[in-house]
Amino acid sequence: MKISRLVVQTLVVIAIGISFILTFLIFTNNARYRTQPNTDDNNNKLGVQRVVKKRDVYAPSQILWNDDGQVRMVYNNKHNIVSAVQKDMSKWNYGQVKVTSKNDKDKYEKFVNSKDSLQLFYAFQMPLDYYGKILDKKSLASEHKIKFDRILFHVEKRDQVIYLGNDKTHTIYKISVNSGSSKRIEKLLRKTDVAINVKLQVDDKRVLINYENGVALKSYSYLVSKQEDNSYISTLLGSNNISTHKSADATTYSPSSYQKLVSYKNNTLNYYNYEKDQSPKNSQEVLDRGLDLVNQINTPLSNAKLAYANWKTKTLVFREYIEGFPTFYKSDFGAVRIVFNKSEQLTQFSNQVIQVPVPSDSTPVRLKSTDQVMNDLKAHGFDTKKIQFIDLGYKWEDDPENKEIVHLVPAYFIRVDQSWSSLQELIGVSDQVGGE
Amino acid sequence: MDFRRIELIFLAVFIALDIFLFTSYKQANNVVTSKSDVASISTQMKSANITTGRLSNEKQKGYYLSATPDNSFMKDKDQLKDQDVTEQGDGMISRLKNTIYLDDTSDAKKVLNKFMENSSNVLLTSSYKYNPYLSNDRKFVYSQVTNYGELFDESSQLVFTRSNKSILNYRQTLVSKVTSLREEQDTISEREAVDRLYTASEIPDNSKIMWTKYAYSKLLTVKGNVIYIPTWFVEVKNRSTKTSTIKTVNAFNGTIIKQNDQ
Repeated sequence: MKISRLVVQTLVVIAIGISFILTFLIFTNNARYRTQPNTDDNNNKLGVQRVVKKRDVYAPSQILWNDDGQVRMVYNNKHNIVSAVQKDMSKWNYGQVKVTSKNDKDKYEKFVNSKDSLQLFYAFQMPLDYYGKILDKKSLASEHKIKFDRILFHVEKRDQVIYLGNDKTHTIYKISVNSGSSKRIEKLLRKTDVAINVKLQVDDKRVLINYENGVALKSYSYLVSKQEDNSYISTLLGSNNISTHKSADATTYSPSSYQKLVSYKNNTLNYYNYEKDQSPKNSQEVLDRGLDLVNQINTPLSNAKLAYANWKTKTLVFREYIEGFPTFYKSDFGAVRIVFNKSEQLTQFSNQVIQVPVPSDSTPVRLKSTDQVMNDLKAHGFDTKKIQFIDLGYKWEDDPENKEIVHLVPAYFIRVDQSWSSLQELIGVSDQVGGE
Repeated sequence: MDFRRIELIFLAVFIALDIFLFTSYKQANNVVTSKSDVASISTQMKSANITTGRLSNEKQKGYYLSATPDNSFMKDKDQLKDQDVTEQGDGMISRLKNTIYLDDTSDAKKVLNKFMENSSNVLLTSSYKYNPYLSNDRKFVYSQVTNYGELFDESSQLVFTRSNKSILNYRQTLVSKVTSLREEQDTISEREAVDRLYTASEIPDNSKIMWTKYAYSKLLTVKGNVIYIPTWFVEVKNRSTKTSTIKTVNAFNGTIIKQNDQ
């Protein structure tokens, strides 16, 4: 009898202990604060979601082709050549990666200006292991220490090799290609309808593109619409007990202390997630989580790509691209900006949607050469040593007569102190030929 | 006080509580997968007695197109014989003085093609192609054909009207300067288009998908230009009411295009 009483008492103590443990686990489990799936059958299921894929958003921004000694930036208005080249490259088999040169600026300059070469270059430093993941190539996916800015291979001389270049360290990597053909790529290159002569300038930690003869680019116009806050509330916060607080310039939505969505009157939103232990551990995780967030936001983006990545601060900036050039001034930060801090994940994004292109009335914009722009900056007393980068892009301009239309106008953009500005904004001078 | 009984009650209560807490903890960690949703749509449609036939999962590629309504062909209207031509909107209506007898509508394409062979009957016939998808016993549609594909829209058609077994008149519209506005983009597949119609409750129970067709339809008009998008056209026949409706799905983003949106 005494023993059976002891057993019962022991079981009671164990059951009480288990209930304490389970209660503790439930209250500290962040999963319950994650977005709950929308269980409304009519609205969920397939919905109108347009999935952004990693091979598109983490794609190179431009192609440079050097077939006769002149480097040309090439583009096709009807076909996405970058995507077609990547698709072909995904069918090749890759061997080991070897370093052929490091910290040699002169060699790197010769490398980027190689004749009979096709270069795909990125707006950010791409980790090779992630690139291998995109192409589904295990040999590349196992290289965790290499980052590169450009891929180069010879088109006519079929030497079964591709090269990777790291602009910061001037490192050149060589990878043997065991099978694969560039014949289709050659055919695509011959079909390009835009070819801009450029010169590649290798500096200490970067390679600048010098549009030595200036460039004439078309402007584009789009219908612009706005996605309502409700769609973001449902995809980011779920539909459980959202509290709303309005202030002069923003509305804050919050389902719990772990999440918050702030919608500003300037058409931007900030989504905060304070879940514990969620900071990505490496660049692969940063890219994967960034892609998940872009898809979770679910604002239709027109040809969005990663335009900036800082692996130290775990910051990603996505912009919409037109003809291989990024758009600016949609907001202060681009289309989407994500920062993974230890205690907070911040996602900033614009709710403006440009999906439907409309015919543009304007004639092509003729821009000055890069050297002329640099001379203008110097002539106006600007310290050109502060320039981190200079490149072409498209400036977002509202139509003065029609709020539903936005114009994307080609312009030079200069990065100073991690912030991009047009020439007009920096020194009050136009970057257009014949402009004041 | 019977402590033993109290202990047994405590044990039973805490065991029940532990079961409840364990179930709650497990539910909080459950992840809903999306694959099961996709698989269930086909199953749901079968259970609802909706037959689709074999639908392709192949994605197409399409463009945003821009075109300008163009009635300059009307300057040649004097070429047309035995017709009263009047301008209407962006096109023209021509009333035939000698109506075309058409008893058996299955002969319509043959009869009308023959009629169109003569350039004094219809202008610019090479721009159009007979469209069986949009035709019925009362109207026979020829759609404008471009380098990018067929335009299934009133802005770019030749439509013959039949009444009392005769073709009485036709309406003609045309667009020109058809250009792509951006580079080609992926579109949804035939299967996705039908699935979206189902999930949007556009396909009633006991229905049959008669046909699907991928073509361009008008999205909107901006500054006098017509913008076209790739579109899936789907004919749904309700077996119960014996009526058929043509549904349209935006092939870029899968949204259902309501008839009054066009």
